Amino acid sequence: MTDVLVVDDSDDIRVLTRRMLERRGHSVRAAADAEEALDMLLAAPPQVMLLDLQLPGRSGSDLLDELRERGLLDDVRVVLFSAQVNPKALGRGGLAAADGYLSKPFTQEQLIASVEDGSREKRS
Amino acid sequence: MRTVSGDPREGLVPVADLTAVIESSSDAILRQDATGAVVVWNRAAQRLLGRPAEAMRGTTLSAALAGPAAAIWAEALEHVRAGARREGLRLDIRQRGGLVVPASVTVSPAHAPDGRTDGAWVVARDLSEQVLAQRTLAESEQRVHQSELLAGTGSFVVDRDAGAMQWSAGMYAIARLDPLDVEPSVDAYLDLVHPDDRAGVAAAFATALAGDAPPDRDHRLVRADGSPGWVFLALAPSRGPAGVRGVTGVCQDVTERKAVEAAKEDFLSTVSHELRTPLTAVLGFASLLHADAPDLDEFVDPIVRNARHMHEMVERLLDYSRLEAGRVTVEPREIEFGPVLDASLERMGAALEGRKLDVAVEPGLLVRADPDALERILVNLVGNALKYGPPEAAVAVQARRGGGAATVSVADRGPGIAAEHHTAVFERYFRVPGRAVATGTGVGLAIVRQYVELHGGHAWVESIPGDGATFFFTLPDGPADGEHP
Repeated sequence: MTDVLVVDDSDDIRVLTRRMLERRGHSVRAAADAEEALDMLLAAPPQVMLLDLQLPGRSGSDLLDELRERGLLDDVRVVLFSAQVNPKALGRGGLAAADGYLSKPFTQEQLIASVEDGSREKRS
Repeated sequence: MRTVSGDPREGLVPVADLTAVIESSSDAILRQDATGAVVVWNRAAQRLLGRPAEAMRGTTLSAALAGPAAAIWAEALEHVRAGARREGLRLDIRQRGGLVVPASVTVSPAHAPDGRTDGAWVVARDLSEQVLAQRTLAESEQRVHQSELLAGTGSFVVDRDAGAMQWSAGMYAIARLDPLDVEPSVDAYLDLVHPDDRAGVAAAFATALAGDAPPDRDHRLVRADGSPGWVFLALAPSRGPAGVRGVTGVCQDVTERKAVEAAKEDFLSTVSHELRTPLTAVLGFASLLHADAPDLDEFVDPIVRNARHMHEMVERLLDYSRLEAGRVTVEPREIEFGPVLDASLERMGAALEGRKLDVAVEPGLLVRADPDALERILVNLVGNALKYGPPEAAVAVQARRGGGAATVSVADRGPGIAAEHHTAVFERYFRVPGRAVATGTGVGLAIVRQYVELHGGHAWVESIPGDGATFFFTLPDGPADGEHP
């Protein structure tokens, strides 16, 4: 079981990822923006954070920068997921700061692999 | 003029011959007496003055001149009376019918048998054709200039031996340069090229000077006023009897087109990104529905199939726009090949239905690639193989490692491609001649080549016409990627 935090502004994507991951036995929390994500992270850091960089208001990259500065990412594996085709367009602070990348649309298998590969890595 | 004698042995021209020469001359020749009245003339003189023979005798040249010509003529005759000669007078002659003919006139003193000056010999050449030719040339140059300004084009020639360059007026307009401010040369041109594009443009000039035609190109420009722009540049070697003489080139200002292209690319890019999120939801929930309610597959399958088709169209749209804008980028990292191939085949969905695929991939094969780019490469190559191969024949996909690179091949049993097209098939919009017009954007293999080359690899095709085609590409092992530990 992996504790996953999903950060995406699309209600449907949050519901979808929650459903896909929960039926694999993972525990999922979901945030719609950077502030909500920060609150949840401070309350209890997840093992994996699935983060859409294109968030309304404060961007995902901004959030990553702050989390890194505050040392909150040390035990969190970050997987970016984005509708951006080109990971370079995510900026240097984007991909470089992440442990994985999942482009939309993704399949259930790809989503699960991105979460479980990460949790295995962290354990090893 | 030598005195005319009847004896050819003295080396002088017989009078009869001289008369024939005068008569047949295309220049008007006439003799006028001291009063200016015409007393002797040839046929060309009749033509020039527009008078029949019976109206020639006694007429005067002065009467056929108007405006400044009359004054010039009067002054010339003063000189002749003083024994001098006047050459190349540019006079407009008004013919009897009113037509004005430009002429070049030479007038010399004529002498009476006793040696005193008695009138003048006049030789006049009709300049109508010459003037017309000059005017036509000037008008033609003016038209070229106007066309260049309207089309935003310019042209130039480089003389290799002289090291000199000539620019048309359009070139100065494109560069926003005053012709007085620059000495045209290849270096002066390169100075206008954006520093990042300069090496490529310099290489193109070198290629053309060496006698080969370099590929046409768009390059950035920094105009004389500092403003940025884009030009299309086409160069070709020009040849003389002794080989390459220099370079001929054409430029076109494509700044506006580039701005439109960039806007189009941004638009296509935004639209396709915006489409990806809803597609994720549609495909994702459909897959959950498939898992939870298999009895609904009759309805779920078409949803999935169509959503995948839409996804493929979105990707094609992006391929097209990225290629057009020359903005294809990759972020290679070490990944396993198998899953990317599986994802590519899954994406192709309906196109694979009823088709055979022989896959031979080295188990656990790792490649250094951008997974999205690799997927585009595979989708395009397998899609091509399916399109051109007969439905009953299998498409073979192989991947193996060796020599510091992974080599991937996709083979079909289609009509094959003649050797002369093996390079061109990787150019955008290229179609093998003689085939029915294929569906698609015509950019698939161009995208493949660009993606492969961005990975430091090489793409090529091997084919025997009539016996199928095999497309290959390599993905070289790179240094360990420090960005993704």
